[in-house]
Amino acid sequence: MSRLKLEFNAGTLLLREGSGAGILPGVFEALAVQDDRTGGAWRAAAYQYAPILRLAKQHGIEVDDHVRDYGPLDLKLFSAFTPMEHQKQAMERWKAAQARGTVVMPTGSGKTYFAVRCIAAVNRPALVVAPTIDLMVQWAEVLKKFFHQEIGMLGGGSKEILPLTVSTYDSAVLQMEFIGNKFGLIVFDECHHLPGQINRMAASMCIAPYRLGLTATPEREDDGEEVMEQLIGPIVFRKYIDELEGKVLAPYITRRIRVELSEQEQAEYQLARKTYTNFVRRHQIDFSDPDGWGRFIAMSARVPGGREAFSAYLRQRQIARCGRAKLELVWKLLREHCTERILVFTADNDAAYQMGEAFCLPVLTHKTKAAERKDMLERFRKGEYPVLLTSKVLNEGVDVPEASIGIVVSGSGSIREHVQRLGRILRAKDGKQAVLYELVSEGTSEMRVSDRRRQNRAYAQRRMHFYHGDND
Amino acid sequence: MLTKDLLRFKTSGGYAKPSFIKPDDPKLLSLAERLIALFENSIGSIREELDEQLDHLTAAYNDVKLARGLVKILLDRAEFSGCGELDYPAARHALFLRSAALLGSEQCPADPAEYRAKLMKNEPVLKNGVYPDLPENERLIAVKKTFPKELLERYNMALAQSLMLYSDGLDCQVCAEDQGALRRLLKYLKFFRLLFRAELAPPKKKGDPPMIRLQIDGPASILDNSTRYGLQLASFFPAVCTMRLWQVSCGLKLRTRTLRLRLDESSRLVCHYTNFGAYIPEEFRMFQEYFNQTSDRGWTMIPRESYLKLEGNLLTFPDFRFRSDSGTEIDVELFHQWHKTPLKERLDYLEQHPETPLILGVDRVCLKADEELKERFQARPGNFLFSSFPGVENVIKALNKKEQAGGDGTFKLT
Repeated sequence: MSRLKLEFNAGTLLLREGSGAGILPGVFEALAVQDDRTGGAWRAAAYQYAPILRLAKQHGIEVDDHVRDYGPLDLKLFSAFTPMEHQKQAMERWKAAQARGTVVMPTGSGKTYFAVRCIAAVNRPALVVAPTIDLMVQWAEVLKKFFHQEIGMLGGGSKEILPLTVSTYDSAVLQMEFIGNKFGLIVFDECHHLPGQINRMAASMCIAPYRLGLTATPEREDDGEEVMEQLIGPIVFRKYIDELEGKVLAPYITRRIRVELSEQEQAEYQLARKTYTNFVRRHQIDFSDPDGWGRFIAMSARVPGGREAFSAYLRQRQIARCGRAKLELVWKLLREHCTERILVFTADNDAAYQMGEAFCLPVLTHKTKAAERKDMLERFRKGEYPVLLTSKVLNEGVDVPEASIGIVVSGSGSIREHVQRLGRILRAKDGKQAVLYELVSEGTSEMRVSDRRRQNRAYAQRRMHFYHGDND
Repeated sequence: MLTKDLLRFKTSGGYAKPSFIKPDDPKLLSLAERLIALFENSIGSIREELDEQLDHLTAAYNDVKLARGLVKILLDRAEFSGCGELDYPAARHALFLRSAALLGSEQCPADPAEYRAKLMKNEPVLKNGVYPDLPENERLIAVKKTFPKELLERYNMALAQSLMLYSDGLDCQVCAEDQGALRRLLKYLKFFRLLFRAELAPPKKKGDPPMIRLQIDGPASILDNSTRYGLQLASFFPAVCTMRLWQVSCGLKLRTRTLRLRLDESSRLVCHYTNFGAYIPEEFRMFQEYFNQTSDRGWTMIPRESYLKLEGNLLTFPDFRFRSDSGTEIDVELFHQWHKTPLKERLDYLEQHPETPLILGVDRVCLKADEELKERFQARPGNFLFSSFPGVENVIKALNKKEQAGGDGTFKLT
């Protein structure tokens, strides 16, 4: 019988002929290329490990497998509870797809517990990859709780590989050439981050035959969905927010509030906007062009009037995003909901810190040091801090089930960001009624931005009107 | 290196032409001097103050992007501290507890300014704000000594390297006569975990020195020619500039554009890696010394070219060459514990070309738990095992074995 030798090499696979000359490239032609830098071996991407083994089996080729650096585990699930119906369905579909695929479920619907059950079902060393350090730490805590064993961590200063390990995308990319053969299952949390040119290496350099992607918002504007399908597998299960509202998720209301700028701010906004747009028009800068923003920055640095135009751009944005009227309204809402747990979202750090200073409240951004960040989240969960201000770091994943009020002071036009922010307050709790406020400065570009980000069925019934006292 | 917004280059005929500066231009030297002085005089200042002054200085210069690029290089050489002795997180925690209590009470003022004033009254630590320890408030504590001309040279190198971040591989030609430098170059290649194909390049015209062509990329580059090894390639590039004669060419993927970059020694780029002297690792030096003391064993260590020409124009780079009293020349190549894959590749080659005058020394750890590899390795006469580094006796024994086993004996470099 012909024999194929297979090895893991720096995040790739090397294929060599054992006995039976002529087996390479043969049936592996579509998956491997000859590498004349390595004495004629053939090389394939690590994520092709399972397909290569399948092909070999189909064609009766015996494999001398030196790839895997792991074996089965003896995982036991502690404090397990009966999965919900949608979790059971998702598990069936994922298993039916040979345990390779993406599951799309809204925030708060139990994605993490679903993944825990997948890890237990596969019973092989597993690596969970998450986009931020906060999320990574949260995953480590959850895995420790359910499996009663030490959890390895890659990222945030830790570099310990254990059978169950959690990592950030950044650290996974850096380490995968060394650890890509140590896991049988890889879980990508918030997997819409995976298709980025660098992040995708975390998936392509890993051999894990079993793959799970988790997200609430898989849509991307580039070819990212194809990349996810190639590196993780197809979408095998999907549930939307409105399908689970009132059952698995808390019932929710969204209120969009128009905020009038003061006369002085209005005048200042108009003037700044004019200076900025005139400059853009004069120099024919087209922001729909991928290089448009870069051109604006470059021209504002070198042509006369450029610096003024750039300052005007920043000023008009600042007024629209966090003017005095918005600050006053935020304060009013904080007082109205002072017995509840409130998350306040801004588009940028400056606005978050501006409010943090004005109201003496905790602000959590990427600038917050790890220890204080952990402390703030814990105290918010416990209720010692009823309000947490943040720009973008809490948009995704971080578990704050007690939050019931969200105030979007400003944000981008991203639908994903807006859906994720809504998701932060939807985790069900007895008697909880979630409310998401969205503050929009009237007569500014924010009106259009707000319309753009609400193009999702989570807002479909609640999209058109502004709040004047009734639910939107 | 420079961020994308600070790249300065022109394009012409599909080529990216980096806008290098003249390191001896008096105007630029003066700018560099002022920037360095500003950093040195700002030790102890907060980052925000430094940024403000740098903004003034760079805005006044007619090429703002260039000035900001110089600043970026100095910032990379600067060290900032935390914000002093005070425990700001603890003070904030106390403040947030007070603010939570006041917000939930009936005494909470409707006016936020009044609310703030009430909370901050008698606040001992956070008098100047709730967040005085943000990065912009960190203090500059040190900046590595930099000379004006050196800063300008570093800028040119950073500009070339920053473009190479977007490359999918380097095609280099270096002078084959530059033996010491070539050896160091290959060490850097190993250090940055890059792979290469090496071959002798035919001289362009009669009288030109021989050149070695190295096509350099990463293991997965042949699967998709992405820029995933860009950082490793860019970090390796300064090593090329230590060669007497060199050329580098690469493709660049800059967002929507595909360009080529071509540089050579006329770019006058200066390598700033400080450990690029004629460094010989301690264990090599000791081995040489001890071997020379025991040279009455029938073998002499002889100076050698860095490479051994294999089939076709392929090259390999052994560690030592020895000549026996009878004139046989044999090369020795060492493989350490992390060199399992290169070892397999070399064995593949030697099995096909047993006449090659090369013996291999391998660290025992490298063969641990791989009986098949061990068997293949030991099948070749003269190959030997060592722990950490080979002993002289061990090597002499291996050389004798190889010489007795025959083979073609004398090796001649083409």
